[in-house]
Amino acid sequence: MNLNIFVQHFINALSLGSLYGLVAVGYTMVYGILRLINFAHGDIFMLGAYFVYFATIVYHLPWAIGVILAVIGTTICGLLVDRIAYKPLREAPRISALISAIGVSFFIENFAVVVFTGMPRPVVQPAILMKPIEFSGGVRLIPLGILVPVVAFVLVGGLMWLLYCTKPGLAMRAISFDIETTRMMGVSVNKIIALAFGLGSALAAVAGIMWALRYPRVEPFMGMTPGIKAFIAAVFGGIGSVPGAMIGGLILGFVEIMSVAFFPILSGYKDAFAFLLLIMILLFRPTGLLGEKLEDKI
Amino acid sequence: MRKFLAALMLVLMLCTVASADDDVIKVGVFNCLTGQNAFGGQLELEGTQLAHTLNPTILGKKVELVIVDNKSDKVEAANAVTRLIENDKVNAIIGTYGSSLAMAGGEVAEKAGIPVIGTSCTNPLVTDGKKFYFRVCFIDPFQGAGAATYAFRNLGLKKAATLVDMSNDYSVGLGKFFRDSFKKMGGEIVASLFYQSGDTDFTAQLTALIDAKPDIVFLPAYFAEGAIVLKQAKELGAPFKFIGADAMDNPEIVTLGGDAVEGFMHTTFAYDPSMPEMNDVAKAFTTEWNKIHPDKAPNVNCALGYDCYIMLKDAIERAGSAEPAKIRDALETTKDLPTVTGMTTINATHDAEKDMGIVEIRNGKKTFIGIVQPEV
Amino acid sequence: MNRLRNLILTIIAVLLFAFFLDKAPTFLNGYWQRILNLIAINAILALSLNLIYGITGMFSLGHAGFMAIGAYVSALLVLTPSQKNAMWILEDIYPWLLNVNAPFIASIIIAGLVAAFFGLLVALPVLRLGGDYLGIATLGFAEIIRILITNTARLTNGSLGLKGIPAYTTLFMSWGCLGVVLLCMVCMLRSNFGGVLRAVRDDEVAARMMGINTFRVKVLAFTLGCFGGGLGGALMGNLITTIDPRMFMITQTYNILMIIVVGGLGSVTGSIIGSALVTTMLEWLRFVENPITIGSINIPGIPGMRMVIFSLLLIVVIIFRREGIMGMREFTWDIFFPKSKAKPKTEHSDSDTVLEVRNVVLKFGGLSAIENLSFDIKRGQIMGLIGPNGAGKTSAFNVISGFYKPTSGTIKFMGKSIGGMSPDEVCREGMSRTFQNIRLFGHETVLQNVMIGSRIRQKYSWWMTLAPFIFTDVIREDSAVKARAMDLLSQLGLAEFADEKASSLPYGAQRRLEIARALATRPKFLLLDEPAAGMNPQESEELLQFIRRLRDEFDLTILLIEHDMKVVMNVCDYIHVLDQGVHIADGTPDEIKANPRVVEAYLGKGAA
Repeated sequence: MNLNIFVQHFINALSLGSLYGLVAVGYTMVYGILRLINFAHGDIFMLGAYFVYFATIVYHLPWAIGVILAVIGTTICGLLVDRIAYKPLREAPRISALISAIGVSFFIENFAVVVFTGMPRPVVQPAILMKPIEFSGGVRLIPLGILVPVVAFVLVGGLMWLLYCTKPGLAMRAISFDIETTRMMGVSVNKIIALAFGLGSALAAVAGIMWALRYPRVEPFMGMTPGIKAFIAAVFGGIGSVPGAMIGGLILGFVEIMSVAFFPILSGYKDAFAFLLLIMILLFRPTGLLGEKLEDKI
Repeated sequence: MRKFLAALMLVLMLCTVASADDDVIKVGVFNCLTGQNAFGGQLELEGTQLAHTLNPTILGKKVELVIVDNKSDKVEAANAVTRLIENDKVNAIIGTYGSSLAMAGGEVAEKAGIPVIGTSCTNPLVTDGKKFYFRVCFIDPFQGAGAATYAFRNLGLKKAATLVDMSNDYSVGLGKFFRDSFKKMGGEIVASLFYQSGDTDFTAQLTALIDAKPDIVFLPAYFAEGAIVLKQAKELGAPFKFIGADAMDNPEIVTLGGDAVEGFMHTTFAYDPSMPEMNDVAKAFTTEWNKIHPDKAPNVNCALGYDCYIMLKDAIERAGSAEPAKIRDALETTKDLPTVTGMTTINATHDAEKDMGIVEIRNGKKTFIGIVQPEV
Repeated sequence: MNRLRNLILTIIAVLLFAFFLDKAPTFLNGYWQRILNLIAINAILALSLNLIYGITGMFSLGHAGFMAIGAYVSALLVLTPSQKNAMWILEDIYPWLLNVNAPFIASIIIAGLVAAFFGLLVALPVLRLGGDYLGIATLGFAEIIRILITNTARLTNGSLGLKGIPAYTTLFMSWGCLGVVLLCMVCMLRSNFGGVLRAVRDDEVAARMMGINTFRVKVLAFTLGCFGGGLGGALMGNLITTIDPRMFMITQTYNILMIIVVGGLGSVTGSIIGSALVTTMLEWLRFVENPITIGSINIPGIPGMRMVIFSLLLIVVIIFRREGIMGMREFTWDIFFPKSKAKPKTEHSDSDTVLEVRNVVLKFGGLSAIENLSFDIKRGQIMGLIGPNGAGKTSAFNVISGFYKPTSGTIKFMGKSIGGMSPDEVCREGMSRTFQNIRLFGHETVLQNVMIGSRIRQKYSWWMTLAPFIFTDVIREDSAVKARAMDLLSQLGLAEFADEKASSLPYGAQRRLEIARALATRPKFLLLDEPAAGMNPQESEELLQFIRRLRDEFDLTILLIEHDMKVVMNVCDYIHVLDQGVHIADGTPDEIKANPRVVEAYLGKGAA
């Protein structure tokens, strides 16, 4: 492999990894606060992509408006899911909420099949984002390839600011630490949780839109694989940690791309490499890269 | 309360058991209407339904379609076929997209002695050793060889590579037969790469392919993934051509892939709305389809779904009876039956022998180029 | 008497069901027979995952992987060489594999064993993880297994899958397997070993203090569960007669998880009811996809509606009945019948010094919790360990009882060094403890809590519990342990609560139960962490008597942490005082009362 090809792989990996990271951040937000693996996150992500498809392709709205509407729509869906399927189960054992999440995931997927049909739909990419920039040696980059990591990093940065520099952020962190005590402090816990869900869903929507731009088609099951992958990424980074999720996503992207780049013959095992790395990380750092250790008080 | 609900449920369950009727020919359709393969199953169902609308009676008897979903899941496929046979007492069955689903359902039908006609299950194992499974499609080795023949003989390309979905039997099979055939003719396979169903990022594989410098890449993908591959190949400036197979045959490929699919070729069944000369069946199908679905063009899956019904109708008429065993015998002797996808003859292994077409995307339109004779 | 009655009823029920299965083909069509088969297979899968998750408390998302292993092993064993030859069309099958063959029954057992072997391989590294991380790691392994099956075409025929597997899974076969699994599992769960499994789920820390090697127990339960997964997968393969890697995706695991949660996590009965309900529900709901005619209104069938309704039902069930249909309860015949209503010897040691702590230092990172602690405890003494909050008392307990490894220094118990031993090993040496925040096995009854404490003094092995009617030691030893547990309960005044849930006891009784459980391990040395916490003066007065009685009746040496000075001063023979990890004083209660440093530590400088 010559240097140019390697640079090309590197750019590919950065783009894929930051997308995984973006989805993973949504997982990690909800997990950090509720300790709930929101299996429906991938499907919320799918809804985001569908909304943008409908806005831009079916109703011919301009891209910017379409994106805003899609984010709002997805956030509402995310809040509804929380309100209907998770909120009644706040005090229940965590597994109940998990099963409810699986139920929600089945529901959204099948509902999408019924309403949108199983046919994949095309998403039109704005031409300006697609015009390849050619570098010496045949390395090519499309503006979208830069936009995706930039958006991902900006959003994660914004989220970090929100979490660490604002009052709701403080409340969120407090809830993730001890929900009961936070309630005692007069924080409206349900509102903060709803905020976290809203943010998580909005992020999923942005990720879904980015995904639909990068891989321009939408279909009801498009959230499944990215959902699982992003979940792994979140665990890589230490679930509950926002920067961890982003780092996890990047690692996953690099593992997937580089394993194919260096061992093309083993490209069938690509996902196995990712999972193996995941297990290795967990064995040596049982709480992921940036995860906090939860001591069991004796 | 709970007991009452349980009793109610039991009553409702018993209600769903259907009754048999002698004056009706029941044709079961099991296909993937939901789940991962829903896009294919839904298209095929539309084709079958169209054929049924046009031919509502056979031998003067009313035909009733009983449609069950198999959720793109093997266990469900077996359940669905069992339900069709045991509960709905169908005379024959049509289905399904997805060879593994066909295999699961086929075992049940085989035991019950109910004939099944497969739509687009192209894996050789589907009908292998089966007395009651037939299909209107040709099989993977034939098609893999067809693509190789076209690339090597007609296009004169000497270096090829394959990009295969490792977790898809269809894709793996075609890839293997393409490589074998291409090498046999004297070509060289410079790379063989894989991905998994559900992947959306193929840049790593494509970059590796660019590095390997083939003249043509064989891409036996489903159209939704295939279109994305072609798009990314264009983004990366891949200099080689792509050739695919019948799973790429969908009008949506142009909307999905945009200008990236320009020049893409694929083998398929000998039907395309753009064909210059169509037989009467194909003409009737195209006209009727356009009446019902003015906004979308028919694709090969619709045609195959349609053909299954036509083939079944022919067999029942020749048998003069809707008895499953007689239908089976008649199906076995299907010869030179005009169908949408050309003349169909059922061979000794119950596969359809028919022409293979080549389609190329030219000026954003699927264009039927001609017929290819694979060197198997 | 009741046991005999229940046994007879069970046998009658089984015979009736066998008769039903025998006659089923005459009145049930193939479709319903298939559903019955699926119910049995799903029940086996649900039971095995329930053993891992519901009963032992390990969140595993890897069941589909073990099913895949089972299904493939069994299929490769029952397929004939000519079938295999015909099927491997892409790559050649390994020659050795071609002629491998086994009868069906053997094949499913081997399938289970191979799955269990892989389960063991997975368990050894990953079971060190807890909670959701374990779930993810097992999910990862299941995916790796699937990817390996897809890629090793010469072994598994890759994504083409296997077909033409003989349909050996008949009603008798699937329900027979379920019967055997059920029998073994119920027997195991009813034995004291079953109590141990639940104890690990309820409170791993306390279980370790009961002398249970929790890691070993978890590995065992996981491996057994994987055996069930493999068995279920094998039966499934032989029912569907064709398998491929895509059958065993994560959704497969979701389905099983759904069944056990709907049925009731941790309930065997629930798993069976859940699988019957979910399986029939999915099939029955097909009617919503067919055209329905109500009067003159014709509703066309909508493909996909079935799963939409099913998922909604699932959410509703979980929201309104979160503990599932059975909760943790089990079916017993008793629900049909109205209810009708010696001093232990401990071994003497010859050593006079029970515990010898020398220069123990405990550091967390840079922070030292204990600095250079040394003391001795003589046999029969009641020793107090006091100090203000944060003095390192509980840390000292944790070091002694093996939860923390001392950074340096030695701890000798009965002359044997125990520094660095794990809690379960320490317990086996004859030490037991209670916890500051009571750690009972809340879902178990009072009696079971005490019985779990006796598990380490039992001799039978876990596998005997699968068939106690053959290995009667299990029944004998369990009844002995039960008698002794009852004895302990009546000595501690808890006999009336024996069949109540531990978590439902009043506070004081919970404290006493924790002590009873600790005594069940037959300790020579007992550590009590704030036994008087939360007690009123009268209760703590009783406690004084109780602690003395404990020492005398059970021939114990006792070390206790206590804040209630009245208790400490009245009951202790000797007292050590810690402050901020440093040993500042020791002496008899009167000496301590007079020690200015102690007063200073408690009340701050200047108070003295």
